[in-house]
Amino acid sequence: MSNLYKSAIGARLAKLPADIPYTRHPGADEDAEADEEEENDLIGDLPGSGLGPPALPANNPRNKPKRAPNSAFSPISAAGFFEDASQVSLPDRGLDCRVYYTSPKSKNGTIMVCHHGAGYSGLSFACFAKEVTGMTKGECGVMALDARRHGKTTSTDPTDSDLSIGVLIQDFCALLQTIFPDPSSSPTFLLVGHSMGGSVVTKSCPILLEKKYKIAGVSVLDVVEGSAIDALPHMNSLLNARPDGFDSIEEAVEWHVSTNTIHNANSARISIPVIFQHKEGSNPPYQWRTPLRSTAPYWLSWFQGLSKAFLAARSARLLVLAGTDRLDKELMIGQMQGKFQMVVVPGVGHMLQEDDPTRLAEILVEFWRRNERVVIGIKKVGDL
Amino acid sequence: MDDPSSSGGWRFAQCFGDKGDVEDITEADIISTVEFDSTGNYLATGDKGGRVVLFERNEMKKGCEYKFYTEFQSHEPEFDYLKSLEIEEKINKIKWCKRQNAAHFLLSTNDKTIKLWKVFEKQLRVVSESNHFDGQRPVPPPNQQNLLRLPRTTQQDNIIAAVPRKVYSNAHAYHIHSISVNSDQETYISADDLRINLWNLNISDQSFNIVDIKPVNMEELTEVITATEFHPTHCNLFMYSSSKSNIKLADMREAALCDKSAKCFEEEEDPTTRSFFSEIISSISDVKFSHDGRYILSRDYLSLKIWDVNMESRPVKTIPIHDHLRGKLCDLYENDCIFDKFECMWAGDDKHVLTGSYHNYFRIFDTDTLQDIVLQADKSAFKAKKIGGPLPGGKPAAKNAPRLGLGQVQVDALDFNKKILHASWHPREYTIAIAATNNLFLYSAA
Repeated sequence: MSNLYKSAIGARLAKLPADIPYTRHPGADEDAEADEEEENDLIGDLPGSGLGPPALPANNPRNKPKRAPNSAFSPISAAGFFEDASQVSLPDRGLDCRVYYTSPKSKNGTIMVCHHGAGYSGLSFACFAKEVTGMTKGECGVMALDARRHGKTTSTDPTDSDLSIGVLIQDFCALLQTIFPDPSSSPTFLLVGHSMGGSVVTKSCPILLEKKYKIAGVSVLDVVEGSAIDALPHMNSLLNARPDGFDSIEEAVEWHVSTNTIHNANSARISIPVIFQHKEGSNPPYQWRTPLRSTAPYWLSWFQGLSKAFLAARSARLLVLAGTDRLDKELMIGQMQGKFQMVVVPGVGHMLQEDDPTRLAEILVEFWRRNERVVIGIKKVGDL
Repeated sequence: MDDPSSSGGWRFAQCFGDKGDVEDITEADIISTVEFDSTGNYLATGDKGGRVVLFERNEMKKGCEYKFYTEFQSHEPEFDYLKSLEIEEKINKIKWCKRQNAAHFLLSTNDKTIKLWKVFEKQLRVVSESNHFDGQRPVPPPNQQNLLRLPRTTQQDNIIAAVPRKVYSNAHAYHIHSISVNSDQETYISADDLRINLWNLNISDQSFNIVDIKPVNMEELTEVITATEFHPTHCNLFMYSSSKSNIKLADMREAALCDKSAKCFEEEEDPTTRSFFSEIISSISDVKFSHDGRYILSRDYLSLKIWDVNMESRPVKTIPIHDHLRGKLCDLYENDCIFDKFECMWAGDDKHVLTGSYHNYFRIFDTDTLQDIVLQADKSAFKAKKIGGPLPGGKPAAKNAPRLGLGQVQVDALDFNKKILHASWHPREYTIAIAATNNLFLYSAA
């Protein structure tokens, strides 16, 4: 049948009432029962601090009965997804950085250097890395790092809490320079950044180019300056809805999946465990490594100037958005002028590298292939 | 014939094409249309790569045998800059014009452009004698006026040339799927999803729009035109089928715009069998008039229907083709096979009808008794020819192959990538040409 007919049928299908929401994990029934039980216990308590409507109904973590960890959400080791994990020491930045790395087949190949978003870790790219390695048969390497105060990166100064964009950029560039000290013999980089990471890699691009590193392209995942800055005031209520911690890692993973923060349970099992640390004596025992609220002072610095920096980056540019997000004015003009490639991935949430790693890998491998051929003398995409 | 395993007298005759493995098919070789001319002596095939290949009947041989005649590139891939869309060069339909002189004329169309091709034998003449060459050896050019000679030519070769005589372009906003030449051999119609245009073969820059079902608001689109054909003898009648399982017969004498049909053939749907997919599977994929013009054959996803032109309320015969797929509609929707457009055709004497199915099976039905013959256009057909036995589709010993027609069907073993969508029946004898992906099979029961 013609595409017109198929699309008309598809459109009518889409207008039909949505499927009943289905719960993927076997523990769903248990949860419902447990919640009901403990709501009965709390008849006397007033939920919340009394200053405003509670973000979550009556789930007082102090009184919740301890539940056995749900094995469907047990952690998965990242060993099968990256070649190796190492700690890279950056003495002048005061950091001991965790880096996950799969090297490319040839020394001068390309590496996709991935920077995660705020509150997450480099392992959010684990599934993605495996897909890329599979798709390119090892030709393209992947490196994911844990940023300052995230994941398994430790700093020599425990009181250090500066996560402003300037510091993050310096950290990123220092890391790359430490791992690949000689720009001429280092592999080509394809910078990938998710959310906050998008800002870091975009603004690091000119610094790295100045230092004569080869940058094949800059890819920003699901962050648009205008929309992000507009959403900042709403972050507060979002953060209120987050529990302070969890009783077990499995519970943490389950929370991320059930609140649809991460749609892909498999990927969550790899990437979530590392962003929690076990704090003895605190209740609940598993606390966020990087409480997002503590990063609040730096939010504006991350996103300000992102669109401008992205459009000015002197390499190939790719913007991958989840669902149909609205571009801000600068990016919309830039897109109409053909200054960057935009791909919208349907059916994923904000953590698109985790929700659909295969699709993202396809997009980035295609982006890499299209921009990898560098012939001396011919103008590269992005050259003015 | 009572024996369901017999092949009804049909024998495999020839196969053209790669005959290689399914996995190595070049996309451009996939045959997208097959058509015999009105005498049956010439057979045209169009493929996805925009080429038209013509075959000629070999009169020297007693039986049915076709040999390659000529091939030409009919359409090239194009790009619509306004809509940023590629226009595929795949040939959607070929229709022959009736022979008027030594040359052949045929219409071939892709999604957007129809071309009238003239195929003729050309004698190549070659210069044999000139002022530099006297036929045997080079000579010095003459230096006196009376030694100047005119060049002489001799016949060398006969080649078959194909020249586009007319190009009918820019008349369709949507993809053209059908063309049909009128019995007056002067006009023809071309149909896309929402409109049908009437052309004069001699005028390529103008056409009349005679049917338009485009809704004002495209969001409300529910129905598309799926096939159209002129009546074989009445030059004012044509019919078009829609995705909403109706066939409309229109009379061009009534009005300039044939939106109001003279007759509408639609069978009332049985509300008990209605399902989510019943609309999609009731969409008619092909309609053909019988050669005498008294009956209409229509193909929807699961059945063939024969209508009497005089009776609009219901078909006179309904023939289920592959009813065992009724339970698999969900999967077929997922893999898009539910949208496959199968063609249907009448035999020259209108006593049999033919249509295709999956796994390279195709079925021929007797219109009176509804007896069917199941055949398979497969490589195994060659082996059968060598052994001299009946075709494997009917062989009872083929235990592993999924079998149709006897109720014991292993639906899961059907290969939905191998489908017989296009075929053509010789207008005068019992010879059929079947397009199976990139191969052309010829069967004969003469």
